[in-house]
Amino acid sequence: MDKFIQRWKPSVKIFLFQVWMMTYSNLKSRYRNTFAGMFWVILGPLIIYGVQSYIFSKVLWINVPDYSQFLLSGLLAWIFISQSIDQCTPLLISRAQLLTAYAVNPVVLILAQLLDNFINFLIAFFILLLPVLMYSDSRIRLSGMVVFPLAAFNLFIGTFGFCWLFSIANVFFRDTRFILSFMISVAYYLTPIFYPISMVPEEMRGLFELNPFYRLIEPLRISLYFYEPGLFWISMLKGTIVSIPLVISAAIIWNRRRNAIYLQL
Amino acid sequence: MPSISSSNKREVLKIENLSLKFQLKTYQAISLKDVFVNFFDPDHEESISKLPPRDVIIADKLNLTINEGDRVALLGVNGSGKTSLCRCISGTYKPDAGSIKIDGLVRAIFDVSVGIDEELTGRENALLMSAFLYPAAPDREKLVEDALAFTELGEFLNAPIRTYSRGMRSRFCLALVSTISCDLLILDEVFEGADQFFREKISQRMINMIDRSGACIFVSHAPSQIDRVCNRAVVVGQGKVLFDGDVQEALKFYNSAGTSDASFR
Repeated sequence: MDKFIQRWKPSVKIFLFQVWMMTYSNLKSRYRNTFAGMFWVILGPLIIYGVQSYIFSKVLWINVPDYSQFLLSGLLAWIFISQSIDQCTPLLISRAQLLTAYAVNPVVLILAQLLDNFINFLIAFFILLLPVLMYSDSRIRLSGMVVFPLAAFNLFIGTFGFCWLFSIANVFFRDTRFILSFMISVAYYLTPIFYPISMVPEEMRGLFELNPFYRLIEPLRISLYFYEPGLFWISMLKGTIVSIPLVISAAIIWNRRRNAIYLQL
Repeated sequence: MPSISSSNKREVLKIENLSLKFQLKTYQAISLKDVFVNFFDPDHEESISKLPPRDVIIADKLNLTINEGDRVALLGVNGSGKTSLCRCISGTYKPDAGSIKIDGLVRAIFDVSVGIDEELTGRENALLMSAFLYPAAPDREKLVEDALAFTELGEFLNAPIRTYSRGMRSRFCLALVSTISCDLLILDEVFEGADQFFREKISQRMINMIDRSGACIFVSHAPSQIDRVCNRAVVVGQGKVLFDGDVQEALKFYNSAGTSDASFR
């Protein structure tokens, strides 16, 4: 074991250093030429959340108690997933020159883009969380907040798996990103984000339960909206059954098709 | 095959029976639409299934040893597999068979026209590039400053790299890559963008660097540059080493074989 750690520790350290440097540069580059920097990137999700929260609770009168808290526990996670897939899918092609010029590990680029989005997700989330916590009837429990990082980590891993897989697919099939863009729009309505799964007709519920996006979002929703330890851990188990195989399958495909991927870049 | 006799110097690179091939269809860019059309109409005029199941041989049981102090010019016509061989050595491509043993650190650069992030300044890009070129160097920031001073780009270093001309990019990248010695340096047609004054300057810096330690593989189509930088030349073709020896003789062999033998490719 010691030998294993000694052998891989320097490589892992360098890999993490490169991911951090790339993430930092992405953030710096993205906010450089904008009027209010990070504010604009975070403002987008906040506006979407505000509008949806108002429309579904005050116009459509969706029958969900504390709807704004319910929506908070799902919508921002969805925005993180959809934005990450949208930005990471074309990444290997758009940064092909860089990947082939310096033999940069493509996973560094994908992880850096994902971390960039994850930081924005967390900032937007905590900005919205503060007023919710101050609300006297807040459903958020301390025990739920304690396990929240686990759910967020699983969301990150699962999204990484999706992004890695789709970015590889886009190397071989250049229209993948356009098809995905359409599919993600459809998936938004088919994933219980702005409505609870209990609203889905019983005969269809099994199918909705199989939705991998929902499996990544549900643990977050339980930890924030109706935390119960039993439910949370079962949901985490289901979420992990989605996220880990996604990453493993992306790694296997990458390993098997690596030469062809570099050839196509 | 003429060959340079091995000396008592340290073997930096030893390639034994290296084989690498690509299926012809790997070169074809296809879309999901093509797959869809092909599924329903396999006899379509431009069907992807109509490509012959042929392999493109990059390396066929290729053997090559490079010793410390060797500055090896890699010669071969376009498509003879020079870049692919370099990518194998740098660890980008995985060989189908055979072994590549490198004693120490390998650094490869295949294109000097690309910055890591076009929005960032030259100075910021240099720091980011150093994280990929020499991540483990303890005095990384000092090395970057030394390299930047060598570029003579002055105030341009504080301008976004997207404003640089090809020549400026070339100066920038070559200075960074040659600032610290490594055991094996791979330079694939990287001098082409630099002006003749900087070529002279950088060539001397490269030679000094290689003299301090390690070896270099140099891919170029410019005989004068090869003559100036290299002390050995290898001609590749048909997946094998066709000539290994003195630079002038190699150039003669390359020129005569290139004009007389079509199968040289």
